[in-house]
Amino acid sequence: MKILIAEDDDISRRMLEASLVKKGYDVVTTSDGKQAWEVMRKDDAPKMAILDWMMPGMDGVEVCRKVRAKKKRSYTYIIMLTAKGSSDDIAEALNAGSDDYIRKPFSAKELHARINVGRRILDLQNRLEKTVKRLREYDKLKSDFLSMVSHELRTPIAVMRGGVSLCLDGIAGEINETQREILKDTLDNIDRLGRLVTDLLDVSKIEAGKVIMRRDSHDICKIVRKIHSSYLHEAEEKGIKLVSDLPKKEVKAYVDGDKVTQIFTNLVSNALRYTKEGGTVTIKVEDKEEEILCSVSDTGVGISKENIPKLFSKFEQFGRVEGPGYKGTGLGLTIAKGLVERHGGKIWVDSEVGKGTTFWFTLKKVEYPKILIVDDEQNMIDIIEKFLKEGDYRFIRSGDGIGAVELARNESPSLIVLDMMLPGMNGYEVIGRLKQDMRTKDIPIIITSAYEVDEDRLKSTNGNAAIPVLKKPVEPEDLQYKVKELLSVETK
Amino acid sequence: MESSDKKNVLIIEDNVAFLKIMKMRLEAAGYRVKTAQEGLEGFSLAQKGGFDLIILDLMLPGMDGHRICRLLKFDKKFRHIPVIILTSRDLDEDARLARQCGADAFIVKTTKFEVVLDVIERLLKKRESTECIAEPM
Repeated sequence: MKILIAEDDDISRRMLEASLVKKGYDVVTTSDGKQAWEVMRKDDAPKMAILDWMMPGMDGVEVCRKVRAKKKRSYTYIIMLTAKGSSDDIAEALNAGSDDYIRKPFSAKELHARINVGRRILDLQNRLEKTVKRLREYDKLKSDFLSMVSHELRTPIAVMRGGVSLCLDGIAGEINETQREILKDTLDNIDRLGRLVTDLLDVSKIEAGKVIMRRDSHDICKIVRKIHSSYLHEAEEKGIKLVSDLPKKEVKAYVDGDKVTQIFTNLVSNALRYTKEGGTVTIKVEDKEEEILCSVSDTGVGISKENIPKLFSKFEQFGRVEGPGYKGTGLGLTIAKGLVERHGGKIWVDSEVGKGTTFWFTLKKVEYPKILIVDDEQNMIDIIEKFLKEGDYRFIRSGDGIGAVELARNESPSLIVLDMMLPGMNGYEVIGRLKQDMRTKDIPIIITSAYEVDEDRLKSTNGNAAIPVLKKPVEPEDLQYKVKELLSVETK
Repeated sequence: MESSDKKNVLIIEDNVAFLKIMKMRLEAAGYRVKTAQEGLEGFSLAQKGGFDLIILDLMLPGMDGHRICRLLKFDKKFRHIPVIILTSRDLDEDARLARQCGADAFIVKTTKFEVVLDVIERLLKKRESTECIAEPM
């Protein structure tokens, strides 16, 4: 193993070196802090370093801080060598990021004992890294598996569905009543299989944390009205009353519309399945201050107390007798729970056997994203705001680069729309500043520019990652789409 | 519908069974249908022109659907032709890729044919309306 010794005192450095070489270590030595940092900043730097605290140029503590600030691929174990011995000194050395310390003058025995501690920790670190790498590989395998399943199972289902429905529609020739009945049953079962595949994929996506949220402004009442009308027919056929109890005012929220629809769909179709003729299914939405409270109640068979905890687990149908109509997959509630939680909400149930069941869930109200628009032309800012107006964003604006950087730091916007030609500090410099600052480095940026943008220069300011560029005049759809795309990438 | 009024649809799809069904469906709905089971073959057919709409699978031998779509949409001669991606994959990445390569619609194969037909009709109508606007000039 390679160990770096940074010590300005010649005698002490030689003693250290001799002692380590004797034990078979590969030793690199230096007598000042700057050189030590030069060695440590490299990717193939020694895994362990013994740094003297007091050194000319740059002291050990500073080297230590620099090493810790740099995100390196592997961990460096640092032992601080110090003649200072007060507990404050030791605390300072450890707080700067060193892992251990040795007081001068040191004994060879203690030195090697401490190095051995370091080796144990490096070994653990190494094993951890390998595990993480392996887990990443598994994660990728899981994703690959998902897309494989999605493709390989769906294709034959699509063919079966297509073929059977084609025959049912009489396109392949006349069919008689018996054949029609058989084909209809077949189609129902193909659809059931299709739903099962879709649900399984959804569950896998939720479990793998691969559900991408596309939040947008939605009126929850409108979503419910849509669901109401799409289930009305099924309810009437079964002789069930479907009721929507909605506030008069719209209930706007920043949610993923498709996912909220799916939550309601799963709950309503469940309720309809377990409610007998003459019963009622009620969808209710209430606007609370910090959240939206939704519920789907039925006057159905109810769920016994023992079964309630099992309710949200996969494939639990615990023998509830289903009515006529299509069968469930046993995954609907698991999916609903995953999607509610993805919205930062909760889902729970009240039920009484024989009386009915109510599923409650909340949707957390999330603040609308704040967008910083930077352009030296006021009317350009107005245009961009107008283009984005439908999305219900909040806007802050700046006419110059320095102001933009300042605003970005203080207001932490969710996104920045940046013009490149700015007075004072130009766009490249603004990006450079933003990317150097911990507070602003992760804010996504969209560039608007009337001129060709120097892609290489851009990439170099952004750690080699591309920044989306929209050419002026900006097309409203391009802008809306890009903004949505960038805002939809949420941390898991 | 007079045969000269019939719209021409190209389907590029490597699953023969699905292709056959789609062809029958579309012909029954009054379209003239040409097919290709291989990517490159489909792309050169598309380039010969004369199609009002193209239906594309994603995973194709020879040249994949994304590529075909992108090449068509980046060509002034063909970009106005609506392209529907009809695939059995429905991960978020797939939909995003489809949009990125300029497809006009992304439909999962298990979707009911009536819905597919509805999209086809809408896309064709959209095209006609822009053609009308161009007429007086």
